[in-house]
Amino acid sequence: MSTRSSRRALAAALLAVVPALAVRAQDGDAQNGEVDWAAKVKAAIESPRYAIQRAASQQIARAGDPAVPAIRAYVAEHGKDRIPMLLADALASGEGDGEATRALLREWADDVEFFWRAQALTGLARRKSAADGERFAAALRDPSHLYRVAGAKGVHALATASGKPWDEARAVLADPDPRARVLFALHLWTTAREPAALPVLVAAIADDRAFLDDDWGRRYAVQAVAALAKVAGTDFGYRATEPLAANAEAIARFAAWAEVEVPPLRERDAVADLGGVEIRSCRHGDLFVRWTEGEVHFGLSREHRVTLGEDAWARIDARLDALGGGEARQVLGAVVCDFVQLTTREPVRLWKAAPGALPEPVCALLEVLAEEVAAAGKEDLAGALRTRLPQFRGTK
Amino acid sequence: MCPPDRAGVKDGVRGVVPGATALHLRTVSSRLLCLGALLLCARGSDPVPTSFTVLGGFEYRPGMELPKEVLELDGKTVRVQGFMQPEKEGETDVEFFLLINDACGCEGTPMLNEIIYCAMPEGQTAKVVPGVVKVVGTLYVGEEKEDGEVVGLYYLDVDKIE
Repeated sequence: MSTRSSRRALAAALLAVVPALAVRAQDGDAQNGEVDWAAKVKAAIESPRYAIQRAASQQIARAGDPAVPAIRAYVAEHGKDRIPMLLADALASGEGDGEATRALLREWADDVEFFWRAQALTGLARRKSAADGERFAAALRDPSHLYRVAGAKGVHALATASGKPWDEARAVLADPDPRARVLFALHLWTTAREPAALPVLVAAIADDRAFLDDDWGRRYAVQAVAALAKVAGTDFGYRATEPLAANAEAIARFAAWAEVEVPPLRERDAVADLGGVEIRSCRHGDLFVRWTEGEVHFGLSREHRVTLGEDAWARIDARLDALGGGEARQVLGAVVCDFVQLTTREPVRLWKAAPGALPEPVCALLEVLAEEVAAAGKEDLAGALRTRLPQFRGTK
Repeated sequence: MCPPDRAGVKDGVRGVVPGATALHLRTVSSRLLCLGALLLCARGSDPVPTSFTVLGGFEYRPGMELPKEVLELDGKTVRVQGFMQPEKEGETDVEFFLLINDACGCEGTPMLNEIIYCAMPEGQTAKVVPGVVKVVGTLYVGEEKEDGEVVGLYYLDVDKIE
């Protein structure tokens, strides 16, 4: 165990002498040994300290059914939106089980407005109840990639538990969203050593793509390497800090070990993006849009490209100019799950906005962008952008 | 230089979690000079670059012996890149924040070895910003418990955010 630092010590001391600031998880342990689940739930949701939220959430998750009435009572008083992912995820992945727990997870999983419905559905997948079979199958068509993955996990779990094929879920291994493919493959490999996951995981190691400044490809590559190396007993010399080309030999050796074709190396794009926007939406699914010199690209891996004319760019540039100054990097509103993130290169901007907090000039920019994309004959892509905007519209 | 019993600090505090007593407060006060000197020492050296690839590159189980390359970072001044997340949703100016390895934080709860609890210098706050940040500071490695549950492995006294 290491030594501890001054700042953490000071934080601990301050919170100890100002108890009102801290909602203690321990307060849930009553004198007679009965657990006060209401206090635990309050700690999990309201404590200003993440460590306490996490500890309380784990205890609730381990208990399952006995804690559920306290969660319901909290939701009845404060609303479902107050449930943090930490608690929803813990309950979904915890040991606690029973009809009350499953009923709560089902309510959450079926509520398209609930931020953490994918986590709830994943929890049901872990519990492998045949009663959720239709729920899992329907989830495969959901706009949210996380929800599709959760549904696929459920379909796979139920099928393998009854010795049946899980063909229905295989489509997620070829999902248009690369995140869905890798997440499901990681699940299949780590929980069931499914060979069908191997081509996807090896391809993920060879994927170095990014969305603006987010190196999502490398992040999934590292996870894929860890999952495969655990079974292979070696990482074949893969080094996450090295450029993709330097890992080509390791990728080839992973492919040989997995007995799959060597995937093409997908380098980080050489395209110079001038800006972009990512819209994360639990309900509608995520949307990634960026623009280069003359084109607008939709999708995490630029699945759709739209060429716009000079007049269109003149209108878009006018909206970009109207964004004005402001801080280069800022968070607008309280981001819980859904958000819009706008990036521009000149001037440098990285603005992240919660629902109801997107400044009007940004809304106007995105509306004009949608109009021009529609005018270029891509009404479906324009619609995808328009559909996601209303919940974020906010300040002038 | 600090006295060799700096390790004793661990007996007097309970990390960022509010488990300290008045005794802890006194313990902290008596060691502030020592720790201040430590910070100065740390600032004098070049940060060791590290990443979540190292810190999170193993399957953590409570009570396990942590990998050598991780333990070697304990007490070192490091530079690490990640995404800022406030301890409570919606906080913008914070004394403490989490550094995680997920741009949106929505794919699930981070593993314990994918979270760094960061503490700003005394009296300072950090503005939570979107996108990747590089944080420089002194890293402390080891299991920290709250109410019997392991809640953290990595703690960082922030010198600066780049």
